[in-house]
Amino acid sequence: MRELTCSEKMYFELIQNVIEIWGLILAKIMPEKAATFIEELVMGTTTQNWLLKKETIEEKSIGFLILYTILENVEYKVIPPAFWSYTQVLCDLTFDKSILVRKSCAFGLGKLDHKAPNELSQKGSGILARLGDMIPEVQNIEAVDTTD
Amino acid sequence: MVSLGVKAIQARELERKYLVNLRSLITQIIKSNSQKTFKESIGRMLYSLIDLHEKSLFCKFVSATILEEIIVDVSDAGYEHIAEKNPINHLACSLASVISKPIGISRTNIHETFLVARVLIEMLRNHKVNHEDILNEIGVNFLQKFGIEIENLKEQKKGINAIMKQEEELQNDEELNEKEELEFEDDTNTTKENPVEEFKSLNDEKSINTEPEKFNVFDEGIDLL
Repeated sequence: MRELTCSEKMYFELIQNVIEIWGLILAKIMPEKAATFIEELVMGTTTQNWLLKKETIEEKSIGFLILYTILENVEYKVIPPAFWSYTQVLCDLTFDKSILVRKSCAFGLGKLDHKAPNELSQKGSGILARLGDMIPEVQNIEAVDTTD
Repeated sequence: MVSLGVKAIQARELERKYLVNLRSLITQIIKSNSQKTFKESIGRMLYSLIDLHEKSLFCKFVSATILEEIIVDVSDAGYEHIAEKNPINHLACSLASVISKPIGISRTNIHETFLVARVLIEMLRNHKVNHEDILNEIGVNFLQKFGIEIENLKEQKKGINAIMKQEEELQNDEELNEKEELEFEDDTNTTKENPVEEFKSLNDEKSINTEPEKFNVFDEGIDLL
């Protein structure tokens, strides 16, 4: 994996902290405001850009962190329905060339299942089969990960 | 990152000592007195700390840390009546505004901003603050801004790398030229130092030049035909 410079590392840690702050705020603000905020943040292009268009694992991890933070801090009924379209995005990214991205996706799908089991089950057994396929990949993580 | 001069470091050290003393004073007053009169004076002291806090990013970080410690020691619940606005909320908003400032030109020290973010996280976890105020300070589109800033940083890095590569190539070229020049000088020096050799080579050149040029028709046949 590419080594980050000291300032880049600090920069990404700062973004992670800001997302943590957002998570703490999202858990406490009025549900309608939280819903609007998620709508603007997640359903706009921002999160999609971090997940799909950015090149490095550090950048993609920001996208994952946004999703995890929402799943951890916001109640199911507050999350806008469009958010669940990320189930498919996560599933698609389980085929990414980077094992770390694939691992993050598996983690995200696990969180998603915990928060909204119905949303995941609607996607059928395909995701479950894919997660099953991933088990040996993750087991061989040390040997395989030369992609980043 | 901007490096600090000796005077700036000394000034910071003085500020730090002042803040630490103020902190212990406030903590002692809070712990030993619970009367309203003292609470009012504590409130004023907290505000003076916040005024200082407005001065610079360093003061912000240090005063925020100190206030955070003070408020951890004593519950902030009883201090809401002290002033019109809860000082902790004011402070948290001020910290959020630091984080929301663009990275790059105006924010020269990511490390301090990172620490400010950590303090804000602790305040959000432990104290009564108006979360919506803080969200407004940070801004909804902040991640978008971060994305653009990261792209800019990447471009800058690419630019710097390209410049460094160009400079390296130029330096290599210069070194090669210098080497060639030196070799040329060496050659000329050796001929000057060895007149016999110079004479010989001149003779050789003459012998080559004096030979008549042969024209092979078959080599140029196609053109002639």
